[in-house]
Amino acid sequence: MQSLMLIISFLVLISALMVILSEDMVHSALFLIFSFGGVGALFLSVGAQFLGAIQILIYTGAVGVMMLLMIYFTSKEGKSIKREGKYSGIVLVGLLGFLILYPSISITREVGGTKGLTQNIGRLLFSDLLIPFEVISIVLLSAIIGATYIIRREDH
Amino acid sequence: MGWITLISSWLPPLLFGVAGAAICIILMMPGKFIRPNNPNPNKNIPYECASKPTMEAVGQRSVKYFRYAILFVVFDVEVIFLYAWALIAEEIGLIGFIELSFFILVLLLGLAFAWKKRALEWG
Repeated sequence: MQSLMLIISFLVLISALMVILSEDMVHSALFLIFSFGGVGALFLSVGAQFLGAIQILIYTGAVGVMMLLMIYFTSKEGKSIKREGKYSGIVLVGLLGFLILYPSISITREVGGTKGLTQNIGRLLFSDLLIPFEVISIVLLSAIIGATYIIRREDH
Repeated sequence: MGWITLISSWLPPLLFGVAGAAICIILMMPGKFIRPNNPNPNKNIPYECASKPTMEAVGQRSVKYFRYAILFVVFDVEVIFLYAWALIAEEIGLIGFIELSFFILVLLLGLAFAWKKRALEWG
């Protein structure tokens, strides 16, 4: 399990680095989607089913599409950019890499178990974490309202 | 020992991936051998109903698409929580159903709001 985690972590880090280094924004977005998928695989490899599913469905699916749409909205001049923050970005990826790699190296016991199973998350969500769960719906509601208003402003 | 359990626990997704890739390759390969090969620079331009493209395909588009993207993300997140509920629906019974109904009701309010503000229309 540890070796699998290490392989996936390296893939995630390399694609995260490519997000910064690639000249084309579309390529950056695709690498970002790839690294989202890798993080999902990391979650799955430690037995966190629900988080893995969320990561793949929401991040690689929905957020990835959003990233590509963002590029779609920007004018053509912005699409290949001179990266001024490249080096600080590399430092950031290094820190992130430490945060990802350190647990996967330092884990000595077998991770997994049943804590991350979707049923157990569901049981927690509908009992102890009920109020945070209902608050999520309000956060999502605010996202709908925000999107409605932001785009309407353009119409007037 | 570690590798055997690792591979056996990941066998179904591995088979899924291998089968998916194999189907793609099997479907693409016969065409590669059968079809005539006449490269032509005109074949590389984007298809625009046979007329020459008037501008680059990449350019600025209306931000109105963003509305659909946001709404998609919101309801995508909602569906994820439905999975968590569906697996324990029998166990937690009516109370869980009421809790989930409240969750969905709040989001339905948002949908009704967006609908009323004509956010779902293209105009």
